[in-house]
Amino acid sequence: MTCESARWLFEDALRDRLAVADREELGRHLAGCSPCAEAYGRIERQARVVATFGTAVDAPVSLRRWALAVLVRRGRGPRWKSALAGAVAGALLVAGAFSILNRLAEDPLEMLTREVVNDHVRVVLRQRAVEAAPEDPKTLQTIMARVLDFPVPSPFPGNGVNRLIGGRPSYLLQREVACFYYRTPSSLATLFIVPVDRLGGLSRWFPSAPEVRKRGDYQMAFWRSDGLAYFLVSDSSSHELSALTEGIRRM
Amino acid sequence: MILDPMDARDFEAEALAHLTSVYRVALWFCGNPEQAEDLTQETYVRALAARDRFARTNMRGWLLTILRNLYLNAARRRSLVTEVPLEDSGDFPVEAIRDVPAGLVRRDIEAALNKLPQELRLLVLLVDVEELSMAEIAELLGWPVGTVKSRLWRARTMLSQLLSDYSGGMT
Repeated sequence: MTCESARWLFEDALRDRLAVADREELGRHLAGCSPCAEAYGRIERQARVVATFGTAVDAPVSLRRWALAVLVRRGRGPRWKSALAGAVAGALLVAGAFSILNRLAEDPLEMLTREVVNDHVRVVLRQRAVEAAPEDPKTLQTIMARVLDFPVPSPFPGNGVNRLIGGRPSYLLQREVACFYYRTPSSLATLFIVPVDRLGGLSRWFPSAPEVRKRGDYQMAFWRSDGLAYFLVSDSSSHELSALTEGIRRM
Repeated sequence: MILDPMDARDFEAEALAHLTSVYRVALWFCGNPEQAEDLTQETYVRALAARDRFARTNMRGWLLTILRNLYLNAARRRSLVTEVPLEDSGDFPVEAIRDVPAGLVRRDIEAALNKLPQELRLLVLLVDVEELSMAEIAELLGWPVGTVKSRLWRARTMLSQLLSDYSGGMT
């Protein structure tokens, strides 16, 4: 494989979209070509930086309200920024944001579980956004401190059974969160941390002792401690999730 | 294809699930949050009106295509689109790609991205944030896949040089 051919495949390789034969051939080329290997690493790191920046951008609340109103009302035209749109949005707010979401047959924790599981699947299972070496939880904490505006505890490094493999500042439910990724004996897990007082009405659902919600093959353990809300999601077994939860709580 | 009432509900739920992605791409196109919000709204209005023609595959791609067409039509009406051809050398030189410096903060990244030409900025964001494949981007932007790759390489080269200007943290 020539260098040009290899570089042609870089972007697809970064996102695991190559056929097995191409992936193996690229791997052999990178093992023997340091300029290409260095370039691949630099592109990979750049992609992570851009992803970290971009995924923090969320649809504004006004747009979400509008979309819910339009989709719920089905086919009635938008009143883009008119007083009527404002009145509808206001009425919906008074009815409670979660009653809107109940239109999709979800209670607040169900909505939270859905968002958390989706983010775990979207990010972790695509093996993206590892910001630091796995044996360096202090570096991860430093990165979080530079970006987030709340104190993030030093992450649980693992105990030989579970292993910290990375993390990044992220965005969930229109809130900045700290994310840490773990490898369990059977799968991967994502830990999200956010100040409890930023959850609004959701905060009252967060217990001091962990509880678990399920969504399909995934489970989400959630609890509060020292003013922070924790949610840990994985498709690992209940036993593995429980063990990781206890390891995190003991930090 | 005519959707029955149950399918219509599924359509709405799935369309809502893509709202953030559609808004972000609108923002990458427009560069302005208010315009992006308007463009997103118009996209969803068009999508609702055309939902019977949705083929039930890749709704996000379908929504983004609607968005792109709306953006280009509006931009041409306002004479904002200037078709400046980018040179596509087809080369992938590695020497000019610099590593990401340590200590970058959000506004450094945002500032560097904003200095890229609009087309190249859009490319990088579509790839790294929206995770579109080369083929999806080629279809969305109407370019050959090879053009997507060579321009993306150029975008990465330029971005790496811009990011290196911000090394050292707070600016």
